[in-house]
Amino acid sequence: MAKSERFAYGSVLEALSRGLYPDKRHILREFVQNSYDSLAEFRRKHPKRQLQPIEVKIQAPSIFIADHGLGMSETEIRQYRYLGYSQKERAKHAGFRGIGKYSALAMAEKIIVDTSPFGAAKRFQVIIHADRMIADAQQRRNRPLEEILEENAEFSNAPANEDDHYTFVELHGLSRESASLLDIDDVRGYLSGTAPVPFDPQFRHSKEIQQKLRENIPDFLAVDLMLNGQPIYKPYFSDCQSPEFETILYRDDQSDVSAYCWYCQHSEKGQYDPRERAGLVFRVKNIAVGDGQLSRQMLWKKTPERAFYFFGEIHVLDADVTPSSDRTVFEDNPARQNLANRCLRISSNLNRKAGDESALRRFDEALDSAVSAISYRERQMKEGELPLELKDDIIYEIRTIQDDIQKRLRGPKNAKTLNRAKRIVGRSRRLIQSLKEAGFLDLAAELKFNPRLRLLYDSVIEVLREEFREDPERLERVVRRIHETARTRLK
Amino acid sequence: MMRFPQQFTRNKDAVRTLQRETIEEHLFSGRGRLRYFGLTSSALGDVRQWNDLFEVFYAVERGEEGKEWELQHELELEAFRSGLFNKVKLLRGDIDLVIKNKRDMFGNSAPFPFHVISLDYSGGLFYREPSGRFGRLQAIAQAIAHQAGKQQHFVLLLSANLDQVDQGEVRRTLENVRTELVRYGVAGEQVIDKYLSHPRDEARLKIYIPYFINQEAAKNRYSCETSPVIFYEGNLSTPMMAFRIYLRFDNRTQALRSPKERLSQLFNKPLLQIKDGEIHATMMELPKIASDAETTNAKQRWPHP
Repeated sequence: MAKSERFAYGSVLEALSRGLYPDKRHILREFVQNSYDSLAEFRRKHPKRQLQPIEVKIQAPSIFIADHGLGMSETEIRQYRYLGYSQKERAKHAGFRGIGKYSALAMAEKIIVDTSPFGAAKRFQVIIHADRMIADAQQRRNRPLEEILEENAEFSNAPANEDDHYTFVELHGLSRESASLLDIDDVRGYLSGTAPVPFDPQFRHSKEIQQKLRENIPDFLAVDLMLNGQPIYKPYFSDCQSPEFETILYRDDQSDVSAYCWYCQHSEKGQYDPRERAGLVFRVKNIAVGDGQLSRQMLWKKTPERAFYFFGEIHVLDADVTPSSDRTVFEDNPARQNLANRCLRISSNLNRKAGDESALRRFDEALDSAVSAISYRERQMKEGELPLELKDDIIYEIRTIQDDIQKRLRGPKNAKTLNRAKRIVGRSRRLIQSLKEAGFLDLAAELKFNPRLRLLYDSVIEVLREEFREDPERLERVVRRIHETARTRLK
Repeated sequence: MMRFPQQFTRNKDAVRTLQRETIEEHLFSGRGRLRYFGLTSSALGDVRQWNDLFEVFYAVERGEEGKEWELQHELELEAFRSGLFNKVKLLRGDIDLVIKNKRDMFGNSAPFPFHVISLDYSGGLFYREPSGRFGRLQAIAQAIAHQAGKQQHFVLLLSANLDQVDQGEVRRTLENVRTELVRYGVAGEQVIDKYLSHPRDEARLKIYIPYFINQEAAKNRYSCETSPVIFYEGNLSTPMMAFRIYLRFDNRTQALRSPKERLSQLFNKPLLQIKDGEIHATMMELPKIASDAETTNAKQRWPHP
């Protein structure tokens, strides 16, 4: 094979820069991910040193992403210019493909990277002239990729303070199609749901969850991230029940952990709103993969709406489960399949909880209406307003309520509902007993109906009862009107 | 290619110390919450030295033509390295235009008012626009007007080199001052002659710049308090001057007033020379003027703006 043969050409750059991340925010996440890896590496090597936040600053025409991580050595920063080259390990780092930085080519005119490695009195700078690269690839057809990269990526170095350790990236001269990245609120929302940031201290379960994640996820790390000087935290809903935790084993007969999950259930009725922040979010190295929709699609085969009765995270620990480049899904491989299968128990568990919660809520609602109906009849009985014609119907009504409660008591219940139900059943029993013994309004006796009139009246009531069998409330209204009218006219 | 942050002389450090004194003298109560606007350098010397006084620094950087981004990038990097990344807000473009538009060339806002406006020009003040106007002086006037719109007391710090001093403009102004002094019965003729014939521009600018600021201030209902004018050698032995003026807004009346600072005060204050970082007061062998007559004519001290 001739040595001069070239196997990669300029149009690859365009495909990479435009095709890889249609959502430009993923490009920003790539750089945040690099900062995170650098900080994680710094912590591994200097566990006693305090980590400083990742800083993101957005101000037209640039975005800056900077960290006081380990920094890059001369070799590493030189390699930074290479496409698809990375020394990072899949198991240890969030990013590992070495293509993320080049995804920014169509986004900015220049990618300027300054770095100073920890412990070295040196600083290095790489300037990737993205505008020139793209123009080169477009104007000079079939130009070898290597030439384009080499000509348009500068490297320089200078002495520096030995105490400095940082990587500072400027994406300068944002393109018009990347203007959405200047929307700070939108970027804040995106990073909040995606980046490996801590929980909001206002979230009352934050400490407990953070503690559990530290205990159960090796090398778990959440790093402070500032966007234009304001901290970013993971999103949460305050109307939630206490968190629950689940460890997903790789196989039932093995102790290898495939994923670790936490979730909080909605303390109110139904799904969380907005749904974009609800559901369980997969995370690899504490960086989100997709959003709540991904877990819904992967795990909720039935009753998918119940996925959004919860919010939480599934931290994937199986190193073979690989996020796609844009981290919207996982690459399809056996590990992913295994993860999906193993995590099905999470969804079935949550479905059961959501079902129980719904049943419990309906039970409470049924108890509310039972109390209301019983109180109403008790009041009428006390005031002697119950027509004799409705005696059986009313007793039947109360008995039906009693039966319904007893039936629901066989389903999901908590202590509060159980006690309340028992009290209401007792009350209904007493009411039935009282109804049996109580005096009812006897219209025929009151108005002194003769036997023939009484027979006629009983016949009318019987017909009405049959007619309004499906609508006892209407029957009651009609009977009461008959009482009123008869008293007015016949007295 | 990597840029290096500008290095500063001991003299410049001494200037910053004096500027800080002026800020503290007038704005001490707002310490920690002050807002700065102006020309820092990519090394952020003043920002670092005054960090504790300020809540935010709006730093304007134009950069070098054709590669503007280099110095702007360096400024942001320096801010990050110094732990000031979130305090420093970079505004890109020519400061005169930023002041005029209250925005930088990318639409980022310069939210007037500020407590300190520091115009540390690396060049001279007498740059003429194609229209013939003195662009920088006009921008200073506009900055004062923006501040007045919000009735903000503030400290104006001006530094410039003595390049291209417009002798005609300076002499014309000093002749105007002579006329005023004569009109108010002040025996200032010989004093003005001494200033005009002095071999150094510093002598004349000592009067010219504060006089100009006083005039613009009065138009906007400000009164001025000028601290002793500083001169020193900057980088590459460039002769430099630095002015520190506190502008107090007077909201008691809508009517414009004459400047309250007396001309004799400007003449009689010594200059501060900074040499090898040491500060020396000097009159540069310039005479003082008797201030009694001027005081007597207090109400007519200056022409009405």
